[in-house]
Amino acid sequence: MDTPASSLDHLLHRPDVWRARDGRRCSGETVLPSGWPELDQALHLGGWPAHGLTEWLLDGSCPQALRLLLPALPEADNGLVVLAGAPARPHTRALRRAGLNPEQLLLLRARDPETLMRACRECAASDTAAVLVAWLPRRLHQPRNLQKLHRAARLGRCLLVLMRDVRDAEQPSPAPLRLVLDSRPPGDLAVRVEKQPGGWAGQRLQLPVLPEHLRYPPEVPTDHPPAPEPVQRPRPEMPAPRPGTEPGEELPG
Amino acid sequence: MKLWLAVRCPGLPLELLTRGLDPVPPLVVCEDHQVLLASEAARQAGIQPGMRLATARTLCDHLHTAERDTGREERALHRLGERLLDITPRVSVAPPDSLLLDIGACLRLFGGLDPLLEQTRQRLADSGLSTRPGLGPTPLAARELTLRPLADSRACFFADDPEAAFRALLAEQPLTELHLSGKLRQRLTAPGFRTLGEILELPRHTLGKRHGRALLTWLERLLGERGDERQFLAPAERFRDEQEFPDPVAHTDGLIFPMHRLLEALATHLRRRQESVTAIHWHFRPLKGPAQTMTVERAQPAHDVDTWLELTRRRLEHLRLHEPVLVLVLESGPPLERAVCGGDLLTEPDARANRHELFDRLATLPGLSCITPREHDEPLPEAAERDRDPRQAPAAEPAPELPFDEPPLWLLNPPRPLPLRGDHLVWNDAELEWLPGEQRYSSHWWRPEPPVREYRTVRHPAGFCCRVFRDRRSGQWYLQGIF
Repeated sequence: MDTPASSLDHLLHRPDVWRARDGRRCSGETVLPSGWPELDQALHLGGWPAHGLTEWLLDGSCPQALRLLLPALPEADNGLVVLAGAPARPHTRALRRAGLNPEQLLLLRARDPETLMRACRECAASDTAAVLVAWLPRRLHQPRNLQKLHRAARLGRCLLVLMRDVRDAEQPSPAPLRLVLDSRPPGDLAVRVEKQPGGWAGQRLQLPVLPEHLRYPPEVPTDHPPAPEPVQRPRPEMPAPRPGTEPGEELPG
Repeated sequence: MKLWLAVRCPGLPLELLTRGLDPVPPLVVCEDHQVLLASEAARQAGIQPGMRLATARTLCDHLHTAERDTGREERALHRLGERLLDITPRVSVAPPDSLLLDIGACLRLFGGLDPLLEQTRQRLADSGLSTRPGLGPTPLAARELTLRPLADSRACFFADDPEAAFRALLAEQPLTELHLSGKLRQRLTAPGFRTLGEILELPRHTLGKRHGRALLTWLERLLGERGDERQFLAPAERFRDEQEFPDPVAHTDGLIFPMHRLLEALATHLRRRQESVTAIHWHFRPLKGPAQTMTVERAQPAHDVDTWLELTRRRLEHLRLHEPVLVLVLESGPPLERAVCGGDLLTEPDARANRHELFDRLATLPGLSCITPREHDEPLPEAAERDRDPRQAPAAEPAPELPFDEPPLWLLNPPRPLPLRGDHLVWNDAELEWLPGEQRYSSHWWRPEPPVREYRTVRHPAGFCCRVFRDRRSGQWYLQGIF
């Protein structure tokens, strides 16, 4: 005999019933798992929208924001991972440790912002880049430009992450997903979902993006000197390597 | 059977200047201050070949004039001949206006004469030159018969006795149109002879006595009684073609159409030789002074017109022409044997596009630095990374081992010096908080000044962590990277 719950379940499984909250099933959107289970849980799609523009609104300087993307990079579908206009040079060893093949990495930089914008659009639309992270000057963040970037990323099957300032949160944007990121408390990344496809926004989470020893270090004594003063000790006389021998051969053991 | 195909370009001096132009301006090609050929617009103004140049100028206000350049014509004939090298390997250039093709041995390959003529017509169609073909049993006969419609000489080939039919057709040729010097033609027509047939009926030795040995040799070659040794074209290693403009082109937009034509010629050349190139060079030659050169490169050898044109167009966007261009030259880089098509039978449905095409396009954006990092087995982080052009092949050396501890995500190269205020390092007026843990690093001890560093981790008030180090020699602190 059917209980009310099972008949409801039966009803819900009918293909012509559309469930508003069930974004994963009905959107048909390609999803890139973020690698953070809490974040995947908070996003209705179940991960990053793999094709299109995503905005990260940074509260102040937030250099560890890119760490949020690192677990997703090995899943990057054998496409390029492009960093455009990055404020500093990413350390290849850190990216390789995260599982990214350095051959997939492409760094773009240009003095003229328009050139960088054009390069970003072409990269995103080329169907070769799986992930593109862009730091563009604020004056290029007009909705028209963002619309172009979004269209290019959809066309080229690219996850385009645009780094913006949190002050731009009030600005209209065509990006389906907008996150506000904050690096306080130290060592964690505070994530607030500003806007997301498939349902309501406003979720807040704390993600431990830094390794344990950098997040909660034990108390440091206040009188800890910065470092011992350099002591000028005479260097022990090292035997000069014989010509034609490798330096390592002189070492004992 | 011996059979030659002659291709004559009657308007060669003029068409070399007007091909690829729309509309064609009033233009005349002159030689010794006399009009040799006139364009349609010039003829409509009343200008006729043979007219004095001064007279022509009075008839047309905006008349463009060009001096005849036989060297240029011969080069153009060579390039035209190269297009026909896949019809027969025996193509000979006969200046001033003809190409001679020995096609007797190639008829079976093409399945008969008509398919061969059709193939020849197709190869000549996009040259921008008007051509008149003719057939004959000898090179000279074929060239003389270009003056008649092709159907006449073709009918001779299919006649029961082709040799007699060709001879009869040659006999009808008027003496005034033969490819002989003007003086000789005058001396032949002076006694009242009209056609070649009337000359051929005369006793040879009398003809030789009166008009010289040269005429007899010419007649014997024409009729096939004497061998006619010709030098045949050797295919050029590298493609080179040019387009000359009657009016210097000052704006790059005006170059796109001629560039397309030249690239199509390049693609045809490469297809015939089954080759590809990785670079092409455009030379923009002004009226005076040195030529400006623009090189377009690709990461992988290619032979398609569209991508070459797109990359050329993108380069042109940022090119400033120093001088208006009079001659546009396209030269290919070193040719490479075309790779055997290695396409997969079953392609993956989600496969990504070829990334080299993206690199090629990005390379045409000026001021854009596009790099892929390359790691080296160096212990100092700032020395371990170098830049590599992504279009070059990846390094063969294996990637160095990963460090045991977590490396910073961002690297400062060169490291940034940090001042010490009291017990704390200061970066942009923010005091950095020390975190426990210290690493000492020493390497290259055999060098006179080996680097000795003490690494520490600090935290910025904004909440992120940095790696700093102190150089043991100078005592100076540096910011190495940010986590």
